[in-house]
Amino acid sequence: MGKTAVSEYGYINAKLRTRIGRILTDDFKKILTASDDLEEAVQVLQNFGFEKIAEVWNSTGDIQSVEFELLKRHLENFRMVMKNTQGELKDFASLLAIKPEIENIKNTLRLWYGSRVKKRPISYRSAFIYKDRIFEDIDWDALVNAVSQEDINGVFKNTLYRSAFTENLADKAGSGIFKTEIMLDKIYYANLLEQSRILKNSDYNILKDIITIEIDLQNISWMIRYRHFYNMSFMEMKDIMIPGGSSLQFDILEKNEDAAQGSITPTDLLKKDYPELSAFSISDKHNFSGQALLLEQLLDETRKTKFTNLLIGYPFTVGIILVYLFMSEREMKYISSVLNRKYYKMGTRQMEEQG
Amino acid sequence: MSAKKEFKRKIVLSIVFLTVFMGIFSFIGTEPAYAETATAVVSEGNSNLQWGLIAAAIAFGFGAIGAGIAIANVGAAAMGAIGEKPEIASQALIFIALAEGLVVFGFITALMILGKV
Repeated sequence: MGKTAVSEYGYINAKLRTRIGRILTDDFKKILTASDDLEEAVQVLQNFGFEKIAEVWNSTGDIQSVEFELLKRHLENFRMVMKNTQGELKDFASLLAIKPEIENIKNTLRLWYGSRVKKRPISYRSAFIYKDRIFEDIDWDALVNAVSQEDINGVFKNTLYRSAFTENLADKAGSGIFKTEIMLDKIYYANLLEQSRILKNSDYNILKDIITIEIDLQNISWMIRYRHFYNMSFMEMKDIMIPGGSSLQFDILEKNEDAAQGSITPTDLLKKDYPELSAFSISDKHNFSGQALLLEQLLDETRKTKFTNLLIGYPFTVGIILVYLFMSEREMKYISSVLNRKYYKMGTRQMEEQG
Repeated sequence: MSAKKEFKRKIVLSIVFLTVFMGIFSFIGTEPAYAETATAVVSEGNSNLQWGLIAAAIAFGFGAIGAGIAIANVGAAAMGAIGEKPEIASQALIFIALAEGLVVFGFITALMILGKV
């Protein structure tokens, strides 16, 4: 018998909704942030279903090991979704797992870059590279120990990511590996949007809607980094932006190259697709970083609204998987951030002030 | 998309087969009544009984099929939720029982029809 939306999503929808109901509840956040120290915070985690995290802390007393365990838990969620879906939906869920894999590649590359180019010791940190298979079969040890560009190319030879490694990374002593990182992001989004056409139209439209905001957020994040660290002009940035997001209105800049150097802001670039941004008047138009951060927050809020709408709308769509994985990531980051603040002895009031 | 078409094709085929079989069996069942030279009253009585039984079978059969489909979906969702939060098992069972009600309605309808023939 063919699959209807109800039979396709009934099980996974119920399972994920039940899990979502337990993610970052108000009680949990309140008790966790109110805990006096890291020991107490870990105890709170144990009481809220994070027994493994508490076990790792109790046996190692190492905050990085705890963060690594949180990452493993997050990746386990991707596997759980794949395990509990079938056919096209399972294929789609595996495409989503490319994102954490790319994050893992970036982290490993940064370690490698620190070691080979900047000559920093990395032996301690390399223990926290996730080495199990996520999507592609990657030899992580070979990557972190690569001595030449050929070695790196060899690691990625038969993978989706090979096209990101055309430049010699060892030559990037001055500029870092941002461009390779952006290439990896481009590969992820292009592959996701292309391969997800196997989904039903309604599902694909939901995905496109969410991914557009995600790409915008990612582009804004890259813009901040490039502008802040390298003082790159908008026109240079235009070429490195990830396609598939909102139509960043670089044409404004093309008409007036001078404007690109100061008065045009990221908000101006995005107004066409996010009319709500027009309501925000920003006093200091030259404060690019402030602008971009505000924009990032606004886009994040827009994304949250979309996820809320997905949760309260028609339940049998791919939206539930997107929401769950997003919330799982948010949970990992939240817990990690609270534990770090406890580790560095930041008070509850300070934490509340900083969100 | 192809899965949807396949599903539609199977449904249409099932309905066609069901209709054909019902037609054939009703024809086979009525033939002796026409063939014999019994009185018209007896023949009419047989025919009523025959249609009554078919109606009762349809009422029960479709009720059971509908309940089966509903329980498959509700049950799967219930298992997904119970697996994550066992304490909601009793609440989930209520929804399964609601779906189960369909076959009870079919059964009662069938009994009512049989009571009339």
